[in-house]
Amino acid sequence: MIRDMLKPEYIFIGQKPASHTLADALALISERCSPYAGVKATALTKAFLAREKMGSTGFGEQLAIPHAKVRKLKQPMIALFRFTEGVDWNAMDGQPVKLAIALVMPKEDKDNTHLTILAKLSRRLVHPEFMEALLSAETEEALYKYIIEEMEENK
Amino acid sequence: MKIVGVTACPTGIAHTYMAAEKITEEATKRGFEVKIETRGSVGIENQLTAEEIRAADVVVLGVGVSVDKSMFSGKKIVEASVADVIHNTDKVIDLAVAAAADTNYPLYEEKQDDGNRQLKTEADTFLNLLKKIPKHLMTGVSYMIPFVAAGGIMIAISFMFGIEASGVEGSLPYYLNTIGGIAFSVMIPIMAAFIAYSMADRPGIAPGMVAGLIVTQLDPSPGFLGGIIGGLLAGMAAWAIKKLKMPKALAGLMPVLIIPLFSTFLVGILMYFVIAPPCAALQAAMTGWLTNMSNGSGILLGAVIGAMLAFDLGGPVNKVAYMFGVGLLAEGIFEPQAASMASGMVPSLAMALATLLNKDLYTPAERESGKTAWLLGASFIAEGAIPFAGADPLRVIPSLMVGSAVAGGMAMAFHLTLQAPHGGIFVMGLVNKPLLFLLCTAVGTVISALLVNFLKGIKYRKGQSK
Repeated sequence: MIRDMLKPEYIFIGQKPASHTLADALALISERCSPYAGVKATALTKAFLAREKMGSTGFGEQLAIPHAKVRKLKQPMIALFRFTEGVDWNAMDGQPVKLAIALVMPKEDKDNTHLTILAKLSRRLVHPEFMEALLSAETEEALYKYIIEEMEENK
Repeated sequence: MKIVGVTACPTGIAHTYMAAEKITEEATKRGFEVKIETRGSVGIENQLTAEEIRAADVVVLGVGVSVDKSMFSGKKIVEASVADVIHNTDKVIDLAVAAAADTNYPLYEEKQDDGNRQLKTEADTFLNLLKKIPKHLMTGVSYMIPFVAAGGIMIAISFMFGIEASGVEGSLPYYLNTIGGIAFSVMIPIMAAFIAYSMADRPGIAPGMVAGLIVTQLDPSPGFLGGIIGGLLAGMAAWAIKKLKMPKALAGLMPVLIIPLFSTFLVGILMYFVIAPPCAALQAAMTGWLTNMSNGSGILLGAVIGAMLAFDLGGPVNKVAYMFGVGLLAEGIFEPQAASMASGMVPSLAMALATLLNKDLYTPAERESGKTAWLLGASFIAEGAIPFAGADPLRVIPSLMVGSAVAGGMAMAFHLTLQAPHGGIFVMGLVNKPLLFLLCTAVGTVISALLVNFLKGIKYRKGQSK
């Protein structure tokens, strides 16, 4: 269920990494996710960077979807980060990234339900009005409520 | 205009689906028909059928990894990166429209040296369903094996207490024999259920199981061959009914009500009216034939008894031969029963030996069944060979018939006699010449084992050289 993977406390708006670089942004994301995922922040950063090396997850339109696959994860998580200033993500359109949807997933793939949820979320992300809402929601609670409503609707 | 396509990205977590959504949205906006298959980490979803590909004007691939394109042979393909599909969807669709209109656009041809054609995803057509019958039989058999092993071994152990021991109600042999018999009685329903399951997924189970139960309740029972036919019919019925287009209001009722109800009724009726009558007729004809034959040569009679026992391993033909031998006991004629016992031990023993002689020809599960088949064969339980005969009837059954016929013929030639109706080696003491009796069974076993491995070997080598 989406509610198991995405919780109100996983939404972070007004985030300010140490610098505009991708490395610092990922370090911040890792640090925030670490306590909930039960995985060391340094391990998370390494996993995120490994995926970026295969090709940037900065997919343009100010959005990035960094993924980390880690061992022995209890619960896959989706975390949402909105940065106060754009991060230089080597995005495909060269634009800075304002919004990152970070995915922390188990390396051992026992259960596919989280992938199905991600597939559904991904399909929503290409709709401009969905992105617009994610970028403009004023509070973390509002943002959370919007995503859950969109995801639980049968679209 | 019809567009089909495939999207896939290296991790298959997000971008595959974003790309599929964008193409679908853009094409729908322009009033096109569109279907996009996603190959992500969840597996293949929204899979394209051969029919849909044939009907499409153009194929759009939004892929960041190499994908098998063999299914698009002879189509116009527009290939773009996942990023282009997501960000420049309109341009990609423009290209697709241009390609569809361009009569000189090159059609995709599969390279001849592309050796790995096996990977082709097969469309869900009736022909493909039938082509995979060997796979369906294998599935059915693999679920049946535990029942054969559990039931057969319990029955065999009950014989060890003496052939009459299980008749004493409340004794250990009684319970072993009874529980074993119950496990045996669901063997064919389970096989039929899972043959149908392999063909039609979960909706196949109800009609398959019921068809198999009808097989066990019919008199004469059509045996495991009837179970195979019942399972295949059930699978086809469930598969076909599943394909029917239903109005939305009824769609929810399909899996829980409509498919099980209609497929089970249809297959049940077929079992009673199409499968059962020929079985009864066959049994009657065989009985008459065998009775006439008993006036002729003894060796031929023994061979026929053996071949019949091995033909359907507990089915109507087997029952005729077995009851013939047992029936004559009452008249004081003991030779046909000896032939029946010597040859009836062959099928299970032969398959046990065959799995030992050439492991490569059998699956791990079959090799395990081979081990229990030793005990079942020695106990005159021909059902030990059913898992093998069910998975590959055309090679296994003729091989078993030849070996059993030899054993039966030899037993008559040596004038062996036996007065016990069942029991295998546990009633050896009642045979007039026990060593010759063992020789008959051993010769038949070796012949059948070599023959079945020879026939399977031809197929195996063909598969290897491909």
